Amino acid sequence: MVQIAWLRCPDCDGKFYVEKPQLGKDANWFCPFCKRTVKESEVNEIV
Amino acid sequence: MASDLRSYISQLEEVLPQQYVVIEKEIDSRFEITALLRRLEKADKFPSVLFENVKAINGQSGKRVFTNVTADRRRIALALGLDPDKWRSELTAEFARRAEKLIEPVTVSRAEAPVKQVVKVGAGADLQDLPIIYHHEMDGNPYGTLLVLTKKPENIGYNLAYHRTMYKSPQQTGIHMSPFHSWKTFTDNEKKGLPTPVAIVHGHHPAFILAGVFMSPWPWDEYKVAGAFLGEPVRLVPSETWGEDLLVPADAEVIIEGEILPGVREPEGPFGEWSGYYGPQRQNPVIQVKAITHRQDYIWYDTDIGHLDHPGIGWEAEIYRRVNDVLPGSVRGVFCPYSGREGFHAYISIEKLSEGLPAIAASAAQTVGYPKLIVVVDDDIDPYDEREVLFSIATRFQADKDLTVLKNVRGSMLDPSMSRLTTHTSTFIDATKPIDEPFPLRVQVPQAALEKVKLEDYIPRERVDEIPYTSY
Ligand SMILES: [Zn+2]
Repeated sequence: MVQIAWLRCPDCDGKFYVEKPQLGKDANWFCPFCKRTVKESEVNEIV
Repeated sequence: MASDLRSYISQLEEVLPQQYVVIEKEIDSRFEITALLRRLEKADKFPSVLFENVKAINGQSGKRVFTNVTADRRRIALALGLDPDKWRSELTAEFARRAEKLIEPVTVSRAEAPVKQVVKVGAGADLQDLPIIYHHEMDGNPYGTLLVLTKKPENIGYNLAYHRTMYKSPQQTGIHMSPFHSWKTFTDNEKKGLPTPVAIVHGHHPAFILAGVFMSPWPWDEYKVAGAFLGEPVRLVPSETWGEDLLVPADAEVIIEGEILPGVREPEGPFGEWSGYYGPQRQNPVIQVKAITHRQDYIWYDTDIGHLDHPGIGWEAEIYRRVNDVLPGSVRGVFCPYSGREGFHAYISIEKLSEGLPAIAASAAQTVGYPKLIVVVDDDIDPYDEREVLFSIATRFQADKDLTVLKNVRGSMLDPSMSRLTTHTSTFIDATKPIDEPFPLRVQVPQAALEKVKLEDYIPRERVDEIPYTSY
């Protein structure tokens, strides 16, 4: 299994997961619930 | 008349009308189609459904969507021109047999191509007009779940593959490719800084669509495989964007032409996948849409991904073909069951002529896709009946001598139990009887008594129908 990390959207608080090895590069992600583009540095919580 | 989705639907209405449902009431492409399919699934019902009045991304109603087409193997048998009741080993074998009788495609003019009835290029090619479906709650966006065709280098031919394509904006989608043939073509082009032309095919005869799940070897032209499954040449037509350099199927419902951009990665996903779990959001390539062509009254074909509609028969048929190559004439059936999400488990029934053959069958099966549980049973066991397979494990298998564990083989990234990124541990269970020592007989009633005693002579048919179905 690809390793996953849960992110919490700073706007809508929605939780979704991304491929963990791709973290650490401050890439853009996007929230599937509110569609906001989320920079890794602004994510509320990474689990 | 060439075979297409409409000819298949007519056949379905005629041969299996009870398996075909038409819904005229308006329904939203955003979760409502999949919600209705879940209601049906809960009731153990898996019809093909034609939705006549679907709301597209832009809110416009009246679009048509056809889905759940391959959720019942009788409908796959019908697509191959078989008697629908021959959905077990006859279907697997026919699939494998057809794949070896490749049929060359033919090229037709634009005027002869129904998919060119409406041509939209440039800014007019707007994905929002289409009823692209939101399947599951955490999906990143609406997703296309059908075939992406690419042209392999050096004129080898075309590749047809199921790839998820995520709506991003009116003229862009994301795409996820596992590291197989499309990925190879894309990365070869990307190394040279070149875009990869693609055509996304949303709707054709299911026999054509099934060519996208067949694991054919790299040098094969999959238009020829699609022709073999259809039993006639696929009719091709020049694309709007590349002309003769990228031919597209003339009898499709909708074609989205675009380029996978080199050097671009953007977030794509999560997406509810065939494994039954969401694949994570990842940085994935992007398709820039160049043109959309479709029939006047097109039908958008969708796969109810993550559920029974996922056509694992492509894996199953290739396992059949490879096992048959090493044990000619001995294979009685191969089944990749939905309980193993079709890609993870394979049950193989063979005529065991000597000890050691089950391991040869399992080794051949191991080379197709990502099986991680391979069970080989005798030819008196129906591999398409899981109760029979489990009976065979219960009574013909001892773990200390019949279990083989193979570590570090290619696995699927969609298997959440994998501890490593790309490899898993595969298990082979030899649930066959020993042939070099006596083995007890299964219980049975004499055949003569079975022939004499007919159910309807003792219990009225209506009374039989009233008795609840027991599934355990
Ligand atoms: Zn959000």
